[in-house]
Amino acid sequence: MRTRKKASLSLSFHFILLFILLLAATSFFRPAEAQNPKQEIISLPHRLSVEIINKWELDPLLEQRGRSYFLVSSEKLSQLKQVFPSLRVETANFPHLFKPRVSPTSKANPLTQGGLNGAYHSYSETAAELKKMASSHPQIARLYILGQSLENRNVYGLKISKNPGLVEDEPGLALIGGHHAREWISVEVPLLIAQHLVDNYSSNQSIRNIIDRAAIWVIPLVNPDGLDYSIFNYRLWRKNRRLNPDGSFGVDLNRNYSFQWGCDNQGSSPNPSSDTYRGSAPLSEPETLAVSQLFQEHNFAAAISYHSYSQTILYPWSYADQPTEDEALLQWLAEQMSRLIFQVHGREYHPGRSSSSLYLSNGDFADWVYGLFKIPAFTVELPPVDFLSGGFFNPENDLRSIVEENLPAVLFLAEWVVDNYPPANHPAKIKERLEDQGKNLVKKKSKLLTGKEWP
Amino acid sequence: MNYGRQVRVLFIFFITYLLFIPNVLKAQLSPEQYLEESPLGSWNNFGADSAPSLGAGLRQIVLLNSGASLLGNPAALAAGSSGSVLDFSFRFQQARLYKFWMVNTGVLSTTGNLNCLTAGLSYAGFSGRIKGWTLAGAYAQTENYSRPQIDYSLSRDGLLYEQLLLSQTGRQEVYAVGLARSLGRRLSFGLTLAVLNGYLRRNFVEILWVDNVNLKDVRNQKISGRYLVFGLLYQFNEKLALGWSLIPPYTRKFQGTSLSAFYSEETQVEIPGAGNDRVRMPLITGLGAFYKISAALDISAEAIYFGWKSYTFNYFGETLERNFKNILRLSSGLSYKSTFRFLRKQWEAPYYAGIMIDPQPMTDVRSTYYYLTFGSGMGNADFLLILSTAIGLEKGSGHNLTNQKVCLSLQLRPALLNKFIGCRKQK
Repeated sequence: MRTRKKASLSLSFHFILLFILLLAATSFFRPAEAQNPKQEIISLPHRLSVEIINKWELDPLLEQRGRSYFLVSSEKLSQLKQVFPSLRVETANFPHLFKPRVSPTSKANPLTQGGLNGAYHSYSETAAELKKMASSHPQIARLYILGQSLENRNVYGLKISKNPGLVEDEPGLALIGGHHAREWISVEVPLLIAQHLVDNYSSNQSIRNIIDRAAIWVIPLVNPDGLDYSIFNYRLWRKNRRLNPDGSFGVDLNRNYSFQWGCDNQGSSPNPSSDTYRGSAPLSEPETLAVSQLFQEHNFAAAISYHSYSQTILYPWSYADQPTEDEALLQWLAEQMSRLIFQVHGREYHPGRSSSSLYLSNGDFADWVYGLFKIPAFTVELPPVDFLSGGFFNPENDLRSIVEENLPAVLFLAEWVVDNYPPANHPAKIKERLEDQGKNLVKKKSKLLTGKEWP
Repeated sequence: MNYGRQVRVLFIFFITYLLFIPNVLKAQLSPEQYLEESPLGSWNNFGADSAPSLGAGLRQIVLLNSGASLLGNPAALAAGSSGSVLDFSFRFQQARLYKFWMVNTGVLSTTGNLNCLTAGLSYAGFSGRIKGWTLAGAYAQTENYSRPQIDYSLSRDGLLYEQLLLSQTGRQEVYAVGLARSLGRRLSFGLTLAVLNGYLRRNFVEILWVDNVNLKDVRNQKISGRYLVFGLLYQFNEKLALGWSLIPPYTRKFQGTSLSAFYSEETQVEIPGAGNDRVRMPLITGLGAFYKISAALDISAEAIYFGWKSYTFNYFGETLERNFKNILRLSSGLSYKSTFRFLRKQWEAPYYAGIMIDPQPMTDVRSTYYYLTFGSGMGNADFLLILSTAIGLEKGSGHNLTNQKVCLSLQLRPALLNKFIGCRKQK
């Protein structure tokens, strides 16, 4: 009896042991996950001709630090390696490109697409969207890295143009967002407008006309470090992530541009802990420097900088309450854009001179663009209209309508830019004028573009 | 050693300990250490906290005669002399932090370090021997994610303008079962399956009293996962033993929900979020040596490798960069056991001392904790009660951070368990 009991105990024990081992073993095996057809990202230390790109069915992605990046199917990889010995496989460096924003197995609320920031884009999500646009529309979109932030995030610029890899004699329109970290909507508007432009190039005649004759530069996120800090740490963070000498953090990027920088302490602050700290010097921040270099290297004819909140369309000057010499044109353009915006969803964006409509600010982007390049530059303050209506918070279901209403204003300004190019101070125009009038070259300070639609 | 001398030694030990506390608490912790998911005190967590382990320089791989070796090196369960035992350990942890979340990173600044104190059951487990096999099961709290709570108010002229409240709590618990067996006279092996459970909660509320606006940022995450611990112990002779332990890389899952909200009299904006994240934990492996100098005195040395370079962290769908390096944690400990007679019983009084060098995995700042550990206790054939402390001073971050643990362990020994079981049988 006792022996049988012992045997039974021993048997039970072995079953328990077997069960534990099986449990342990199975816990480390998982079924393989289904994957999309495999693609790889490669880079080469030189540009390729269009023929070679077409021959190998390469999708140009971006250019960075002297290397050109392409999307290729993995089947062609081995052949390409033989043809281009200097080829590097870079897929591992682009982890977000092939990764869906939401896991397919996610049981999350469908309204919440992207984690803490919901439907809004973080830095990595913005980068992934831009790369996707560039890779899916290589004929009209190319992604450039304009510079890097303090924490080594890229400041991206998407060039949308007929030949995005070429420097052509065409006017540029800059759509720039995300100067201030907490203004999440200011990233969405230029990003989703870019998406609309590339998606509708082939089907929309007016968009095709613009892209064929102009270069739209979309820089949706000037302050990537600040945005991620706003998402992960403190929602109302505004500045970049500079560690200041006094131990405080951040420079207000929209007070750091080099026109009338720090001309007084009302429009910006010399105090590092202030929300409007202008930095230690004009263009002291790598983020503003990246924007500055882009403007110096390319031929821009107009620019819009998106911010929130207050529903206004502001034009220079911002540093002082006085009109520019082109007040009438700027006001007219702002009014036209305001009218077009209102027509979409009935939301009113008040047009006006920045200094008198909002508050004084110096070293800001729009003053810098107008002051240095003498081209129309606007600050569009997106909804809501005031702080109590949400301030820097926009409901996710408002996002689409805000983008929709801003689209006609962008198209209008782009068409105006195209119609008024080349400007009066363009060498071709000057030559033409000289030939017509037989006069000597008049060395005059460059003037604003003037056009037939300007009354 | 007689009882009077025993008491004197204990008294001196506790006086020394108390004198040491104020000096320790002046210090601090490293800034980059306290990321969203950083465990309080150190990234390098291995095994479970128990007083015998803590006192002897966090001895984990060659920790004999303690059920807590289930999570450090299960093979040690089979090698010790104890039969069936029950172990309970309580831990008090005090860490000093400087930078974390929005504190000293741009939003709120402090003049010095902030203190975070946690307490709770760190280990409760049993182990028993059946026909050459040692079976063990345990519950352990292996990581704590608490941060100092902040309640900040901004007032001017007696009027309250703004208030910020932030809190973070969380812990990782482990439910483990394991078995061990001696293979011959020298070699023992052990295997443990550990199932993870835990949570991480972050709450932030900002109230702008003048505008009557309320901002919220609430994040809740549930932690789950499982991992294996393999262990070997080889006894060269009665004096020398070597141990090896391995935790293969495993995935820790975080299922989270969040709410970022703005409430005013005019509107309510809510941005709900969700994330099913997978965090790849690194390989951990270690070697330990145990040498019995005499019947009463032994020494141990351990080196534990943490492959943090392969660690990846996802947070609500975002891969956040954790530029970590691999780490080798080194420790050494002494234990001395004295015996005496008291109340007609044979008593034992172990003493522990140890050191540990615990580098942190961050690459942008070289941060290392240097630990001194002490412990002592008393017991007989029925039980063993031990109190130990580990005092960690940090160098490298510039903030002189600290991490201090106190552990109280009670081991109920075979004699008492047999009595208890015997009583029940009689009834």
